[in-house]
Amino acid sequence: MNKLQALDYSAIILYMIIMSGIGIFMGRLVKNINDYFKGGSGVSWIAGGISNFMTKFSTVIFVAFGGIAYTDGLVAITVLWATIFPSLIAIFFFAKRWKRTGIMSPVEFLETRYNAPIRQIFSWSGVVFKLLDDMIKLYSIGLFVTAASGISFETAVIGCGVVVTLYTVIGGFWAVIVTDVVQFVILFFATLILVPLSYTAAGGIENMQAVIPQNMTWFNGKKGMPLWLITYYALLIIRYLGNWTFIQRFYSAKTEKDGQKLAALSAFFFFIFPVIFLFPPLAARVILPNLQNPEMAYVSLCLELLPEGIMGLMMAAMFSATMSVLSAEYNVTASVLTRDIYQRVFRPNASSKESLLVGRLMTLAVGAIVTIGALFVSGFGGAFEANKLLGGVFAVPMIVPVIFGVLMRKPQPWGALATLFLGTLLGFVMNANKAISWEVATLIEIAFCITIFTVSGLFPSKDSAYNQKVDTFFHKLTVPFVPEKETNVNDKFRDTIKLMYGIAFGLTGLMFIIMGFPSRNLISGKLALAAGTLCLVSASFLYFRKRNLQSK
Amino acid sequence: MNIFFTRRQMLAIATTMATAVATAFGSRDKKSNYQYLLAKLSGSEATLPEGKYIPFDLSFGEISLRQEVKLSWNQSIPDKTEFVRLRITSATDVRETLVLEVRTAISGKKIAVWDFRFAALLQPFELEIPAKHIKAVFSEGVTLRMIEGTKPFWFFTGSSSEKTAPQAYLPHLLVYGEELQKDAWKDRLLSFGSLQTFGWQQGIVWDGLLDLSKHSTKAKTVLEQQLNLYFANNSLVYCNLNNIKTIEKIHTVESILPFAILAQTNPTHPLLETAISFCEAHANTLGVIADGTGNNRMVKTEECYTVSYPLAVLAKVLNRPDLVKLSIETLKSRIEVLEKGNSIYQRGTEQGELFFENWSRGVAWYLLGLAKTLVHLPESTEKESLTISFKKSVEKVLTYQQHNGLWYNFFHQPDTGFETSGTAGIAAALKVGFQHGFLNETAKKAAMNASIGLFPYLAPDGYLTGTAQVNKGGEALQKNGFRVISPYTLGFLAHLTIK
Repeated sequence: MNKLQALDYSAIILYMIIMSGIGIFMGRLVKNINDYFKGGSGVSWIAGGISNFMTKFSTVIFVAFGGIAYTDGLVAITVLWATIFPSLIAIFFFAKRWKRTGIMSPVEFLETRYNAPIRQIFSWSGVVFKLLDDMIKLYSIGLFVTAASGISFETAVIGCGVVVTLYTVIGGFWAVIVTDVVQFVILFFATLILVPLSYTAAGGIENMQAVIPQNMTWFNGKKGMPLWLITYYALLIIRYLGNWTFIQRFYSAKTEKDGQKLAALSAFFFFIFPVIFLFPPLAARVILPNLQNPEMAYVSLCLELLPEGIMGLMMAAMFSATMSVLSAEYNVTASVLTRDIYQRVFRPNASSKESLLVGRLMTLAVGAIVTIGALFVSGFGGAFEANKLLGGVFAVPMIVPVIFGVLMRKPQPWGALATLFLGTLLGFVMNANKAISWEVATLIEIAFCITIFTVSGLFPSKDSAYNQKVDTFFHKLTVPFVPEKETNVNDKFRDTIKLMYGIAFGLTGLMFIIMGFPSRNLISGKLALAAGTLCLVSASFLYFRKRNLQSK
Repeated sequence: MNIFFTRRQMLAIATTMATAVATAFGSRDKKSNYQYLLAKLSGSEATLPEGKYIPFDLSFGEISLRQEVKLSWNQSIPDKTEFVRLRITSATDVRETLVLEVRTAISGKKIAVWDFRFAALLQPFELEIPAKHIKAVFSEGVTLRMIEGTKPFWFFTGSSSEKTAPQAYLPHLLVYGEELQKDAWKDRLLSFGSLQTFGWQQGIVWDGLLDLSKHSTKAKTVLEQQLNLYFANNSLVYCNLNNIKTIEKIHTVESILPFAILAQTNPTHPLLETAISFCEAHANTLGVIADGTGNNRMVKTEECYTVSYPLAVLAKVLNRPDLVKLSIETLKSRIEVLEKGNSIYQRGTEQGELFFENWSRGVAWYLLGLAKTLVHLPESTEKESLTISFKKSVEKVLTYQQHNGLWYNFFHQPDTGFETSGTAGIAAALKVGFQHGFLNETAKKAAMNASIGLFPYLAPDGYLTGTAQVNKGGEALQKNGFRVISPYTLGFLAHLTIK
């Protein structure tokens, strides 16, 4: 198996420089805490849609789902298509609601919907949950890099952790969005290159069907069983709908309509990309039939098929996948630490400058904790298992009061608390009991949490102040959000963002061309050169359009 | 990394966490010496005609010439009940004489006729149940039948849905004993029981809440909540006087008052610009703002409070000196046109016709508008001149105050009866004027006397009774002694309590 070569390392270094550069540049646009955590509600639906997609798919997809695709085949795509549904549901039930709440952090509304203690409990526990979740994601990229290069696991985790923390601390939400878009481009082109290569290497679909017929069906293996799929779909829908970064995309959208459009766009990506991402590990079963660790299928195939330089691009793509998730998570977790804990409990009258500084310090702290914690995740039993355990035990009880809380008026604060504590307790008990399958345990937990939360609504509160507060909240959800009028300041801001995209696309294009040039006679090299050219054309278009607008 | 918390911060966290469970389970209202016994309704089913709208989409019922409504309680009379009042709250703006007949539901004994003439949106009406009927009301319930009126009368009802009006606005029996709770009005003000129709009425409530919120976090919270019911998400949605849902439109200069409070709580709200544009469009070449055009322009004392005051606030908050001129010219025109000799008229044309001489509520707008505008105007010779005018007006008005602290509905006509909304408004102006150094101790004392005089008019749950009905029925309605509850007066009472 080949390891990374000098050109590959230069691709990774160039990628890291581009990301850090974007963060530093975007930092200049951050004037206050609203810009830092919400992008001043000025994010376009296209960027928002891309970001929504990018903040959900980390390297875990290539490690954990790559392993499923290698072992069980197409069912991995069936499983991953569960991600389409949260966005579709959001179009109809959540996009407008989240925009109308007018919040700046995803748990801020819990105080108005329930009460202050619930906001605190969900903030603190949510932060702990997020930190653990992020550690697993950073751990996955560490595994991937270690398998693909001579770099040690520790160096990969720390290097990736430092860069993502750096650009998120400086650039805030805008850095998250712009890097997400650039990372999307890198991820898309780099992973796309591997698809035809793996197709050819596997001898085409016909040969795959002949060699691994069971893997070419949509419901193969344990994960293709109806009960398993129903459970996974239900769990994933709940997890995504309650994911803080998912919620953040909607309240940061320019308009309610933009929120719906970004949800539709991300649903489209969630439909297309599982095929692009998981076809190569599926084909790897034919190309590399004797892999000992299925989770290494994707990286092993890359090393097998990609030439020097292109492999570096692929590594950049893997970093993109994880760093886009982590940066968004760091930003939204810091927003909770700043808005819901620091400003709410300790310094309600903190100045704008102080809040912004605290926001940055919180992001730094989150990045540091996650980076250090990621070094110790292996003790949890692997990426997929650890992720499943976290989701199974904590996610549902923590999310049900959040997402059903904006849909249903009647459930009471005690219902939210009971859901959180009793649901978690039940999750632990059932996970500890090996006699109960994961599917049954998870479905019982979901049903239990929804039931207990809903039942609390059968006992209406007699506290008039509470009822008044909740009535106001739900009334607000019925009033369409009116966007503020566009001004010259908005135009200038948009121009600056376009310039940033232009520079980033230009550099990305150059990176693809430089890395693809040595392999220009190979298909992979040609594809890389084409992708690079497309990026350069996009950059030129953005540059000349900006100039034309300025001359007018 | 070491993390240190101060003792105070630790206490804050500990308290938050320790009270989490307790507060999460909710708390009951504090004990009061009055009770709302909500009625069970039958026969009140209603379908709203297309295009019509009930404030905040709340549940409602209908009484019409064809539809009799029954209210019942199916419970025994609570202990210590001495007095009982029947209440229902209007969900429509009535523009005619509307009378209901109230009878016991089974025996059919007539209890009273109940006058709802010119009812305003969100205005509760009450009927004292005579002692001899109390038992029958509890055991049988009552029927309400329209005996005068042409249009259906909509009123708020409870429902199992989430869109239910506050208890004080639902059909109920208010049961209470002899002893009255002095601060019950604060419970009403600091709740949705002070929600009013958008415009001057809601503006008065918010203005009081805003003053109170400088000393009370609860007042601040309630003010934010109520503002959110109208101004959420950069928008403005309300029910207009024709029961039509109105979005981001302003119909009269009297609707500008709420923007004074919005400007002080959310200075970036886009609707502030809409309000300014509306004022500018209604200004003549001198900068005097009034409803109507040409010879149909009518200047009213209302605009001192509903236009000059908001413009002075907007000028300060948005740093718009041009609005100061509009504010001052609008005030000056009222002083010139409406103050004649010892009288202040509520309205008049710029050509010299005058109406509603010394009408107490009209004078309240005048004085409160002057006082509140002066608070926000920048220092200038014009402000000095307005301050002198204000003092002179107050001196005149104080000569009409009666020994019990109240004013008659028309100051110089005792037969029009004492009137509490005007009294509360004038007292509020005196208090504000004193607080900001425009008036002396005499004004403060007069305000205190008025407060004492108003106390007997407070209902057990805090609403101010004894107010003249909104001015839709002309002078005749104001002079016939008809008195109602007006929740907007809670805003005036708030000004009176500020130290």
